[in-house]
Amino acid sequence: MARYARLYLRYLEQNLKSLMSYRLSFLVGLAAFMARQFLGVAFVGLVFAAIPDLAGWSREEVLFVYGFAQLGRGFDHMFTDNLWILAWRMVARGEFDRILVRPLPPLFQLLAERFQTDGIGELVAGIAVTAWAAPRLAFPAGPWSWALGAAAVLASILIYTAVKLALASLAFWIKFSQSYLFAAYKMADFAMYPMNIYPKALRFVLSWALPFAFTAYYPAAALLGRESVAFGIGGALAVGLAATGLSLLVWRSGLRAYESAGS
Amino acid sequence: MSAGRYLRFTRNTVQTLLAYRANVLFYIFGNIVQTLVLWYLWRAIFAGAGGGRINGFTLGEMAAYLLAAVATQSAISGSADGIVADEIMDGNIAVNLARPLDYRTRVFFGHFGECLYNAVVVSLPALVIALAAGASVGSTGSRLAAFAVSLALSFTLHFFYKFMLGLTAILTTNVWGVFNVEAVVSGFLSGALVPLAFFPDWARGAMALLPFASMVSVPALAFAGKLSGAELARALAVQGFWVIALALFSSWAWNSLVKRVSVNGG
Repeated sequence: MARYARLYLRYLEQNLKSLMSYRLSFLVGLAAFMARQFLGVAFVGLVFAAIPDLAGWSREEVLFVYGFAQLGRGFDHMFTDNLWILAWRMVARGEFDRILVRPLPPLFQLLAERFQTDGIGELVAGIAVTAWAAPRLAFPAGPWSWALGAAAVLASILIYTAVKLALASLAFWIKFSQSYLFAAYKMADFAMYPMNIYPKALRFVLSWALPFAFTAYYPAAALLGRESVAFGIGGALAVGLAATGLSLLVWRSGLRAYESAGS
Repeated sequence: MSAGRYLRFTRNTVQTLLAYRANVLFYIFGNIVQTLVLWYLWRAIFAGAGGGRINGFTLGEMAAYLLAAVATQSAISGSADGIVADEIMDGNIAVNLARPLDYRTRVFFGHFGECLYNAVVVSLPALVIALAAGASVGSTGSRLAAFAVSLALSFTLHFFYKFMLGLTAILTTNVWGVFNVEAVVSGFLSGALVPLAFFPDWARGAMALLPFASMVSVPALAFAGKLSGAELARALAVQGFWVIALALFSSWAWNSLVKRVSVNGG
């Protein structure tokens, strides 16, 4: 474990060095993701200037869910962004060979190879929005609220990473699976707003098929006392662990199916 | 100039896109999802307002506005910026400058191919599904005509705008970041998510000085029947102004920047 932590830091160091030589890129990427979050908040603000509540949710509650949705997403974005590259070109161009010839677990190498600073923009915006909304609501209700919140963010990271890993692993069979990831990420946009504005069938899909509802809505509702903690947080953790297990199975059989590109 | 020579670039682009049908299906799906999120959100917003008007919009008008906004966005969504930026970065622009074809015209026809493809393959299914999900749209012949004219103007000014955006690759290497910021900002200021009537007065004053409203808001308002005769004439005139202004500005930018292109040998 200590060895992997040390290795990860070495990878990180290399990543940060290359960032230093592209300082403008770094700032532009950070600005892009913060701008997106800021405009999302502005959207909610413009809408709530015209209506008192959204399907029973106040402006503060909607922003709490919205901000909370960015936390797990931002963390996942920082640490597992290389999965997008896997889905895009690593298999198709045979670049994955490089990883297989080194004496470290392939998944560790893949994730450690890329640290995406753009995710910091999402995370900072998420923290800012949540921190603005929380004191205006019943959060925190007690010291355990923070523990529950941390558990919920962990569950959210697990779900994002699992969906990404499973879909990116499809590239081992079909070479290019970025379009699948793109579609799944669009589905994740549903999770930023209260689920009760959607029809039942869609809610079912978002809860049990692509479980993005557990990345923000259910846990946030539990933290605000609108859902039971057992379902909102416990359920999110259970779904997160199950999804992670499944995605690791897909990844493993994908590794066995991998054939390098000929040239 | 014979259009036939350039039309080949359009045909080429469409054929390339058709070759990747399976992937395109998922992009289409992503687009439909995005439309649905907006639609359910607005339906809940109107239910919250007691079913009345919000900032002058009824739910039916809002549905018409959003559908027209989605259709407009995909019909103008060519990537002239990406074409230009890629060629600047990989150096192919040198070869293309040497060819006996006008560079901007050639890019235009490739861009046009993408727009055609996106309008038909991407936006039609999204529209059909939104209609099936309960969005009702009533539109008359004259509104459709106004929409068509406004869409054509929007398409033209948007091309010049995108072409100029691609030229930023000469100035910076992080084009991906620049495009990302641009997409987010223009998506918001063009009225694609929220009609501009929802913005506070000071913001609307500022936006009147920018070309973004002419890209999506005007055709969508025309389709939804939210512009009276005089308002429509004025909005179309503003669009016409931006077509000319951006055409001139992009020619200027092209002429002054192309001299700075330096291509790595190899």
